[in-house]
Amino acid sequence: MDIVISNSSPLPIYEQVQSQIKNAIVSGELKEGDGLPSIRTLAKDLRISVITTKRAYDELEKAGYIYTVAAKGCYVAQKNLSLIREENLTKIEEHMRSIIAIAPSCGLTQEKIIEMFRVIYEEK
Amino acid sequence: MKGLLLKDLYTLSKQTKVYLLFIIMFSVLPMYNANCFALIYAAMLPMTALAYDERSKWNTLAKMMPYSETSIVLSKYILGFFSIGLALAVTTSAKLITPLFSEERFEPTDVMVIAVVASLAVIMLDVTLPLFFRFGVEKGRVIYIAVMAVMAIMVVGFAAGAFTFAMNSSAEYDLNIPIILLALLLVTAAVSALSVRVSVAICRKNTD
Amino acid sequence: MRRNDAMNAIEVKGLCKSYKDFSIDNVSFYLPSGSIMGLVGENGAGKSTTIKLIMNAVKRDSGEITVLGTDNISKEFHLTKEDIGIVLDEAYFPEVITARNVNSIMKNTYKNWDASKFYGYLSTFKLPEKKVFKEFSRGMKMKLAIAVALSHAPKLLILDEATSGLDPIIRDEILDIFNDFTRDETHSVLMSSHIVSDLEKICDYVGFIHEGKMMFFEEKDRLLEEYALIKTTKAEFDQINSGAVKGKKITEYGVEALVERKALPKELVTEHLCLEDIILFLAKGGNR
Repeated sequence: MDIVISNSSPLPIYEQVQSQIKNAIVSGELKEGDGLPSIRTLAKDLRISVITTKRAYDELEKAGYIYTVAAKGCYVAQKNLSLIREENLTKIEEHMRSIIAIAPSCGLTQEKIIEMFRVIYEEK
Repeated sequence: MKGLLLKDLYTLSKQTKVYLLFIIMFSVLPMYNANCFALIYAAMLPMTALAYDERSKWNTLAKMMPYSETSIVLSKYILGFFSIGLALAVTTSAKLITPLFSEERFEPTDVMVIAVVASLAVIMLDVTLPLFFRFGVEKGRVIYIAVMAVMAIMVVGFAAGAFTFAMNSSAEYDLNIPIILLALLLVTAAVSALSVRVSVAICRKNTD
Repeated sequence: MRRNDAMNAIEVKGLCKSYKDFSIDNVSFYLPSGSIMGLVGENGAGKSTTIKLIMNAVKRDSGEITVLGTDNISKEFHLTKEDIGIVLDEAYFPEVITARNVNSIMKNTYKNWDASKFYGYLSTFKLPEKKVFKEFSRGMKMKLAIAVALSHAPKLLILDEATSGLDPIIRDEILDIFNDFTRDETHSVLMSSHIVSDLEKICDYVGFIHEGKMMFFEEKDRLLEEYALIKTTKAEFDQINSGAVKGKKITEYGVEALVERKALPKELVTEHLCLEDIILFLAKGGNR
């Protein structure tokens, strides 16, 4: 598993760890039942704070991506497709909101935006 | 405490050779003045050790290591006792042995006088060590020299006087030497015990 | 904010100590077991004094200090010192001693002294065994002190400016050693330094001491999340809630400021923020 922490990213470090592990799970790189490195080992290997890795794991567990076995460690949970779908839906909504926020600076109306979208979509 | 003693021995190792030479030289000379000097010189060893400690600020580090204040203090006293003891042993041996090689006769009173000087050297240690613990070697040095000067004069003066006294009275008085030696030992021990107590109290308070 | 689980390696509450022209004023912080805490502050801020107070090498006036579960003025603290590795800024072994001598001395000082480990560090750090201390460079002196501190199975390392005076390559190696030391969750490190970038590399917590007061004590990553560094025009700056501005530098050409991230509009581009920036802005108060 590759985890790369960037200091120049606007994302907090725990989010970077969290999202990279999440992507590895979603893409199948990490399979259900795979063990994750301990919070402490991961922190020391990445040279980041233990508090941060713990937070990342806590968030992943809350979101259902991993689960903890007491005294053993953290493992990848069963891929919950509807969960992922929901997450991606939220992402799409966020992107849409950003578009709507920036559009006025180019003088784009709603119709013009939809038109642009149609063009790009059909390029595929 | 063994660690502390080792540290002092290693620190003083180069000095020690010079010291030993001095002490042996002066102890062997059949002159009371020289013998006294050897004993008092021996009493200076702890001061040198303390000076090295001070230079490297060892004491700050030592306070954070598992040494008790008592061991830190005692190690310096033991150093002093040991070196004075050594000088005493050498001097006494010399007094016992030289009659075999020269015309000198062995005078029991010699031993007594040497013992008294040794006791005075220890007492000098007892007076000055607390001062060093209190003021440090650098600042304490002035006080130390004053005390040493006074005591050195006293000791040498006493030795000279005792020598004459011994010369004059060995025939007249039947000095019970073993009792006198025992008394000296007890007095010195008592003063030393008191001095150690004072030094430990000073060290405790010095955590400032 | 207190953690209730696992013992804290160090707990300091309301620590006060007065000197003629300086005082430690009501300093409080805690170091959870398994963590690395950085104590940062300018020279003379009180870092070394705080460390001496923690080890009871200097007697505190008031407050509570607990180290590895023991009150540091109790008789038992004597035994606790066996588990604490110390590296101090200017206090060393007498200068005429060699590393070999140090081994013999420490063997008779610490119950858990491990001579093979010590010699291992000597060789890793390329320190000569038989040279006298006087002939060591400052960097070598620190490395020897670190070797000693690590060789008696300590649970807690207390380091006062342990990396100052070392070249960047060695500093990095040594920071790695401290980082690895805490792979074990019963091991903790308190390190003071004025080289903020070193602390930023490995610390979990940061405490900033300034003129004897603890200005803040916080999780390092949260600090970097909470604050943002911006460079804007005066006009843009004035639009920001002044309560969220923790420090600013106003020049003829614009404003550079440390601001609470949440008070900023989302589109505003922020500069790369490092711990040193936070310290500098907070130390200078409102204005730079």
